[in-house]
Amino acid sequence: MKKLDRVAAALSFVVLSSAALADPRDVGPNTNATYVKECGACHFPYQPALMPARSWRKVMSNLKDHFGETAELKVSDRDALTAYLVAGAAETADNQRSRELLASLPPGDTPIRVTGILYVGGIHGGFLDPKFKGIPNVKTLANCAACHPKADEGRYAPRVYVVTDELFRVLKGDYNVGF
Amino acid sequence: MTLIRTLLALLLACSAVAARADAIGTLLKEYEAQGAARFSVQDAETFWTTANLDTKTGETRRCTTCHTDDLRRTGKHATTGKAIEPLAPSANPKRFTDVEHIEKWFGRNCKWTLGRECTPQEKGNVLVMIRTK
Repeated sequence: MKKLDRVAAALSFVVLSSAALADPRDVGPNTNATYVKECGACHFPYQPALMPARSWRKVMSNLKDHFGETAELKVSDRDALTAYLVAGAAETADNQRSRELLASLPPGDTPIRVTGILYVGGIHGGFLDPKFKGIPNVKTLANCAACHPKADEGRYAPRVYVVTDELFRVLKGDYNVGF
Repeated sequence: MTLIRTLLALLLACSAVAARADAIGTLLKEYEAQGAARFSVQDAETFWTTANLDTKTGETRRCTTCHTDDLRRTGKHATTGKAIEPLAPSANPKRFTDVEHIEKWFGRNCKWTLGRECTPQEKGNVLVMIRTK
């Protein structure tokens, strides 16, 4: 009986500590090479845990008009990638970042952009929010890696930038922000 | 040790060159079968820098918009700002070694730049031009 108790204690310790380890603060890296290759060809490959499953389904169901461009894939790829995104989406992901961004969504809201999530836009300050004053700053905000050097690892805490209007004008090229 | 490494590097370089010759060769034959005439590097150079008006957004679009006017340089996606690896095989040996990849991006990029699919003639011209870079 004593030995069993010890074994049980050891097992519980392992299970509980790995549960703690399995609850990281951030979303972690992509685990699908096809996703990184296909979707990351044109834009930063946003990790699945950055949007709810319904958002991924919406985006993947309309690749013919993907933010003004055609991003069609062959059916097998599209289905596989949709499955990957939905399986790793924010509701099922077990990290602080996903919980926070989900909590910031109005009920039933289905963002189709990571940058359109209130938590993301809000953190970056109103003037970078794509919806702020109706100025579309998506060009800059959408390129996470521009300021977050560990974005490809799914770690958004590290950042290198100087917050000036000038910096973002430079990053966007000649787009005139107007203030 | 260095000899083996050199030989290996040479072998890999050769296989990239061979793969590209295969892929481009295969596609050029296909385009000829689809009605293309003699392929012209000159025509491709013009095509590459020609301005196209996108009626939906009013934007002027060219191949150089994303790929720049020097194919050995890293380009930049016009909407997202993401870096695009050089197209010139001399700068990027992996380029133009996969038929499916080439056709997929012709499909997408011609639609974006020209508002239509490229003709077999246009595609063939572009391929013979790029392999000189």
